[in-house]
Amino acid sequence: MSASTDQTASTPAPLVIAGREYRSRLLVGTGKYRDLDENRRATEASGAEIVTVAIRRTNIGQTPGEPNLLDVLPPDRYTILPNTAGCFDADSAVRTCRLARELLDGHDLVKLEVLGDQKTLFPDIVETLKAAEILIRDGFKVMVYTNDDPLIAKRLETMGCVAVMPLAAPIGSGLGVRNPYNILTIVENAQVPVLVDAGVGTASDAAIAMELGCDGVLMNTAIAGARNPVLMASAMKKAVEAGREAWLAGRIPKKRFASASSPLDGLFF
Amino acid sequence: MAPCLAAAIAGSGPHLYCQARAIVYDRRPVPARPDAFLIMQIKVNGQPYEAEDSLTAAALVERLGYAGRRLALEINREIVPRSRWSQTPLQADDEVELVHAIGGG
Repeated sequence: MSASTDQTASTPAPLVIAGREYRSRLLVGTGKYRDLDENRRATEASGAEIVTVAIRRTNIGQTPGEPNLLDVLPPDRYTILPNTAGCFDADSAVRTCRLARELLDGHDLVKLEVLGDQKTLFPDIVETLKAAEILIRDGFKVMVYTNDDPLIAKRLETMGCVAVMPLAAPIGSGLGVRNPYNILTIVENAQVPVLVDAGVGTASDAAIAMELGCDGVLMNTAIAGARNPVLMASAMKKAVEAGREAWLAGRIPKKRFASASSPLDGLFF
Repeated sequence: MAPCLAAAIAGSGPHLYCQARAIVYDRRPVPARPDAFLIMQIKVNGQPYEAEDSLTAAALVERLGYAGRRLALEINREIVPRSRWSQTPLQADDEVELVHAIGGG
């Protein structure tokens, strides 16, 4: 326990997703790493408790003894969040989630993403809504990747998604929060956690998302693609914490002209 | 050389096809009665695969070297829970999907 008298800083409120509490507000993906060891070290440095994974065919005939992702990121230590990346229609997304639930012994928290276009990887909202409805009816707890449209974000929440995750910018683009006002509107309207998912490039982008009041940030490429992924993971951890604290602290209003920090009273000249 | 079923039935040396796909037959015991079962074609992860018609899902997973691994299995788009693999025989033309978790964002 910190010696600080500031309760906000010493005992930060947990992130609550589907009734479960998490101390970390940074969620990380596990793709694009050089190897499993770098993946493990970066994930540890990020402090993330929720990690996303993809569901894919096993490679028939390839060295059966090779280490497995879930050996280095064990489900008893991390909350494994299977995603539906690579799905371009509701059917394949639902099928992927059902396989993931079987794979993870009934674990039903999933990241739904239904993509619409290879070039932008923007979400196909029509298919996303369709898949979300089926999955929720089927008992899944759906964290949903969506665009930065406040109306769709609200619709997904109303349907029963446990978290709404608008993009900051296209997946893997590193462009940062392109539409901060929409993200702000989504946050202000939401009763479930809002996490920026995709598009973060560097630490300041993550901080900006958190300063807008987001409940968390999910990222993969910004860490895995950095020259030093483990160091970037550490930077992202701090950025998310700093952004969160800045939002809780309440920033000063922006003014056009200066306001002196040192008092004018007591000048001796 | 792994025992070759086609050869056992036909009474010749290892069938060329089986030589090429020797991995399929690793660890398979030589059948006491070669006519006790027939060879069938199935698909595993989109690839053609030969198996005897008594093969169960559990035996397939073991034969592929995945015993004890965290996998999910579908037959013809229906998920078969791990607890039922050993009671689930495969049938000709079945399409089996075996999936696992890999890195992704």
